Amino acid sequence: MDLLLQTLINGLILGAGYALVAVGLTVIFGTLHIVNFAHGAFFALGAYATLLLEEAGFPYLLAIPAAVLCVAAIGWALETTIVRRALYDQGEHGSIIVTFALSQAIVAAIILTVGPDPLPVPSPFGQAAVSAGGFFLSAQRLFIAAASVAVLLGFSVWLRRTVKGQQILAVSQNARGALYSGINVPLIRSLSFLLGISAAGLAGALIGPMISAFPTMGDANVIVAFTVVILGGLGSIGGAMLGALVIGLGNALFETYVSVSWTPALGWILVILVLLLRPQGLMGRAQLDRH
Amino acid sequence: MKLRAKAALAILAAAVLSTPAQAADPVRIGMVLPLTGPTAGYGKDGKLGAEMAAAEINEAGGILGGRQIELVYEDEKGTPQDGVAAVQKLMTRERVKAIIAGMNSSITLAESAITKNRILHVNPGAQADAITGQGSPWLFQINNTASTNATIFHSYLIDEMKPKAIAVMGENTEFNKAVLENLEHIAKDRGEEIAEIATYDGATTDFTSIITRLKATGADMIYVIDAYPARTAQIWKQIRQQGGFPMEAHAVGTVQRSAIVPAEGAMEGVITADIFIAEGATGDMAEFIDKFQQANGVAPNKVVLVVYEAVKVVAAAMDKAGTDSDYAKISDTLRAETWTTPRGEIAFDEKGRAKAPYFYIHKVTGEDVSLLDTFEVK
Repeated sequence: MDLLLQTLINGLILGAGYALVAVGLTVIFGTLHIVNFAHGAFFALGAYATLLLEEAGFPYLLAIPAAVLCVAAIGWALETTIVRRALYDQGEHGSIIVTFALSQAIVAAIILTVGPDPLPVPSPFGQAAVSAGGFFLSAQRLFIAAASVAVLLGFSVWLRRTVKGQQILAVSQNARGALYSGINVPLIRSLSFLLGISAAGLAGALIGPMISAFPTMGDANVIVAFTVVILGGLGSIGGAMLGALVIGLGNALFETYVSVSWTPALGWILVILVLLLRPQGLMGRAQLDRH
Repeated sequence: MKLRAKAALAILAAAVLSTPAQAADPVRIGMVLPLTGPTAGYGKDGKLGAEMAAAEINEAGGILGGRQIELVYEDEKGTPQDGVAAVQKLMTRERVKAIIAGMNSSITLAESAITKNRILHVNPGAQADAITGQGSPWLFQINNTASTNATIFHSYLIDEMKPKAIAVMGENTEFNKAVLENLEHIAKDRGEEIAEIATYDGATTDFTSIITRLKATGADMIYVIDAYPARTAQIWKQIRQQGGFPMEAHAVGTVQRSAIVPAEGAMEGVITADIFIAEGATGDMAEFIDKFQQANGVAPNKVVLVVYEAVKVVAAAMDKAGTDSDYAKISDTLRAETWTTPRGEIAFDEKGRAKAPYFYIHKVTGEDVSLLDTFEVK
């Protein structure tokens, strides 16, 4: 029973971390129809920005929002110079090539400027763990889970209750209709891109102390994020959160009770099953083809 | 006028006669290293070792009658497909005379399928026995094989530390497979219980549930087999966050400062081992460490050392054999002679494997390792 409870706690906390990485990916896809392969690189930038800000004297808790602003600033520069010109309205195939190239360029830039070795991202929570009744909970993990839930809830409320949030939802549902309604679609697209990569940067800032900062740190995390968003439904924020919980809990239970070796396949098996039985994902909208 | 004409003729003649020596092609050696990707730190260290070796050789007048060594680098990016592409490019486009490639066993195995019977290949760091076990006549290995290293280390873990049961976790790789086979063999021989073996995929991002599962077995020793610095740091942080194990060990030859520093103290006290340690070095090794430190401002590690030795051994063997492309002759020379390295004299056996003269048991202390015990390799 203790093992089951510890596993469920592990899975829930893991899922909260996955959700933060995945939600940015799904916001960008939902609004811009861009499959952002550079998401992992922005995740890494978030961790490196936190690390450099801490070295400059910022305490960790202040370095996190400052790092998110740094990632947003880099993202804005790239959005203005590359993404906007090369990708909007160009379809998903172009986005795969351009964002993949962008990802490689960012990783190469990190290697050239900071170096390839993994670097510790200091956190006041360190290796501290909360131990109660035989359960171990890492303080950093609890912080990540709490921050993820707070940010994702805040983001969901913002999307539904504010004009800009509703405009993002409108553009993601029907960009042409939104344009005809007087919404500044280019501005909303830029805002969505910045929100998406800021979420990646925030995830990097929060998860960095767990895994250290290294140039390719986003690769494995973004693969999990892809399974999460496909499972939840591409473009669906609620779906990304549900998908993250399913993958987090599924991975933890499978690793503990079935097989560690087969766990990476579990996410993709779930994705295949969902695509066969519910192609739009758990919470995605069904595609309507009109002829 | 006559004198000036004679002088001009003499200068022209000297220039013509000296042309072959000056224009003698350098001996190009292909270096395949992970310059990007998750093990790029190994590539950075290896490159420093290679540069130091080439500089020493060239300063001493080069090889084969004054030809300089030229290193040509390609990035294997930490994947077998990129390793194969790098080797192919060096052989076909860059026309190198030898390949030095081998930081990761799975990648080296893929690369050696391309180099087999085609070019001299020296593997500086990868350990899996399967690499030199495939019977490639022109393939040589500087580092000990995984089974040589693991036999000493596993015997030490079981005989000296005396755990009741060992829980093992490691990445699903050729290196892990070789180490696990050896551990199972030695454990069976000693009547030691292996409580659980958890083999994970390289894409795994979290190890909490694996550690929870291993702790639930009641094992009193955790043994981690992983060669990737960032993941090593992450695993040990997560082990520490879950309360750790009474005894903790990490696979041979995979614990460098690049893993210890980001682990932020979580690896303190972990037992490991390697063919190199800077602590207490004397003679040639002390000289090597000092020279490297002066040039680069940091102490060398095992990766620096084995790549340095690979370049030196390749150059010395070509020089002694009197050829840069008769690989049968170079390989015969490599097997017949002993080679001076900072670690002492090394010799290659029929399979092309070198054995380190000494093997060191380490304990992670602060941001480096300290010496626990020394074994002479027989």
